[in-house]
Amino acid sequence: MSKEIEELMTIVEQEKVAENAIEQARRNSEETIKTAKENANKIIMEAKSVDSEESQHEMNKESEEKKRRLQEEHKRKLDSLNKCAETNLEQAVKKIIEDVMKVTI
Amino acid sequence: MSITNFATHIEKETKSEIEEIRRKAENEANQIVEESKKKAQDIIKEQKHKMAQEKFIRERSELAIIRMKQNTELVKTKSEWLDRAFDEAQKKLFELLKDTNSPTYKKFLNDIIVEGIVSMKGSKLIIQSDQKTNDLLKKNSATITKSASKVKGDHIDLKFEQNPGIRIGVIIQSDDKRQYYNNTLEARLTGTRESFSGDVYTLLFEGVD
Repeated sequence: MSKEIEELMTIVEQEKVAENAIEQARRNSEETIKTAKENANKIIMEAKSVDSEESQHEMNKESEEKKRRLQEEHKRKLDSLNKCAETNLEQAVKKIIEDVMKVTI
Repeated sequence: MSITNFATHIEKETKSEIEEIRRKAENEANQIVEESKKKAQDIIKEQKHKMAQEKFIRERSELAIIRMKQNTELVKTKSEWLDRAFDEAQKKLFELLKDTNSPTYKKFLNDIIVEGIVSMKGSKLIIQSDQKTNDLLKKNSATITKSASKVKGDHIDLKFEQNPGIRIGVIIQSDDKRQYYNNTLEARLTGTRESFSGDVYTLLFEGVD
């Protein structure tokens, strides 16, 4: 074999190695993207199943507080109403008696 | 180009292409993950918004129900006080008017008879009352007739009848029994309740904030 043919074969061999390396790089690249897609999917799934218990609990707490304030306010109104009626009862009874006894001629 | 140079060129080009493939893949992978993170944030944000809206609607309805119940309770309490005022007034009136010989009863009786007679058409009338009042009326028939005739501006002819169903007060009937005027204490209380409840209500709850 002549020296030139030998060198040519070396180059062909080197080309083949290079092609294999590039092919491997492409496979690696596909793998990297596949892994990235899997990670992305995982991130989204996690977001979808985020445990909302904490914010739910916080919201319920606020809601309960509003209800408690409403009940307190109502109790205060009711107490005030009862006290007032108790104080004015005698006067109201007196007025009723006056009205019943009053005649229109 | 010599063979050696050519081999070096191939090696260099290959390295460069591999590097480019790796760099592009990493960029694309990073982009995919970043986009998913952004999407995840949007999902969480949307979930929170949805939850807050649901909570707002639920809370508004729960609070409205509570307010409605509270208003019902306030109305019920006020109504109970009104009942109590009328019950106590009734008790006091029965106590005040139980003695048929008392001046208060006599004046009340005269007034309600005159009021009834004035409201009725005709001059021949029947006065119904319980036994004690009936006796009292018969005893004072002349005075009552005179007083009623004067107010009515006509001569009034009165008959007196006993009605055991009446406790206090009278029922006045026309002679043909087609007209009547119920002036018993119960009827007067009912009338006062119908016409005067608003005033009693105001009086009872004056000063409530």
